[in-house]
Amino acid sequence: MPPQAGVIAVIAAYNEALAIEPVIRGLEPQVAEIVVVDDGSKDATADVARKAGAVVLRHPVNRGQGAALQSGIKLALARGAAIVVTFDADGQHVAADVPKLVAPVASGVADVALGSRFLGGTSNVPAGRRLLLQGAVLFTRLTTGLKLTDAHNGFRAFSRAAAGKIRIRQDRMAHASEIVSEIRRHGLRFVEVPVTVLYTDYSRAKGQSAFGAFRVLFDLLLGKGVR
Amino acid sequence: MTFNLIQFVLLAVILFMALHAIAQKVRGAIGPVQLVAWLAVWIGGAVVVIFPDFSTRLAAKFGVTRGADLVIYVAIPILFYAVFRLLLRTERLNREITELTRALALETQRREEAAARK
Repeated sequence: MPPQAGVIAVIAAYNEALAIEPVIRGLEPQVAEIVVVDDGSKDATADVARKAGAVVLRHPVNRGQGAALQSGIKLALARGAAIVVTFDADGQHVAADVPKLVAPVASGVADVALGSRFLGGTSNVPAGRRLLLQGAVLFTRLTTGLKLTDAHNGFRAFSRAAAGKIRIRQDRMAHASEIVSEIRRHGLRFVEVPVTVLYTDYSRAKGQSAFGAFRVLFDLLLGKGVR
Repeated sequence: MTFNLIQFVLLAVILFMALHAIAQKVRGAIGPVQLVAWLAVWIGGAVVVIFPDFSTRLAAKFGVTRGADLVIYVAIPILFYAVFRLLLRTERLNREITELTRALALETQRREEAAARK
């Protein structure tokens, strides 16, 4: 059996018509199938992804990265994924790292593999981003008790069972924190795997702001009230 | 009894709000119970405005000097609570919209794939 059998990649994309094709091409050799969730893009993201050979799910309106990932995971499971890998649409992640994340899940050592850019891979994290991300790590430690080195990395691998258990209800950026607390809630075994995150002008322009961080806190608090 | 300008202004606003509530009931946007509740609020407000001594005496019972201060002390927690409930309702609505979006997206994908297979 080829190493990538049963591995389906899920990419949430919003207005990534320029970046999505090379991302799909890079992933092709590493996975059995690629699901691209077009989160209500105003550009040709869905068409580009479809032409590049991905299975495309289209949200008619923009709901947020968390919502798009949950939709993609649902479809991947319906298509028989044994392992679901989430991957960013903007070219920040490196496809060659996929086997590193799949390995611990495939061997049964872990239910979830979380990519970490601070475990030795990336060297050029912009100072402002680094500060924000360290803040996220601290926040995660305080709220979930889980000691992660990178709490906000979209590069993850889930076993089929794990992907079926976690429920992402946070539509927007707070979903990253929600995934971590879901891991805790279900007692899932996880490992962190060093991955490289590439910072380009393109992805930097799309990055999170400090205001975004407060929005995440607000969303998490609100989420506690809604049931 | 002499009225000052602020009383006129407030009474005009209250009258407008009360008429608006009645219009909403007539249009069917709100029910009879809701109308009664809102009219009670506006009539209460009118009483406080027309008889300022009333709120002053009531405030004195609570150890608050000015009637207007008492009104504000009561109104603010109520408003905070109302906003909180609104935020929760908005979040719930957002989640429902996402569920609908997801269902629609998955159904469309299913149909497109079935059509492509033919």
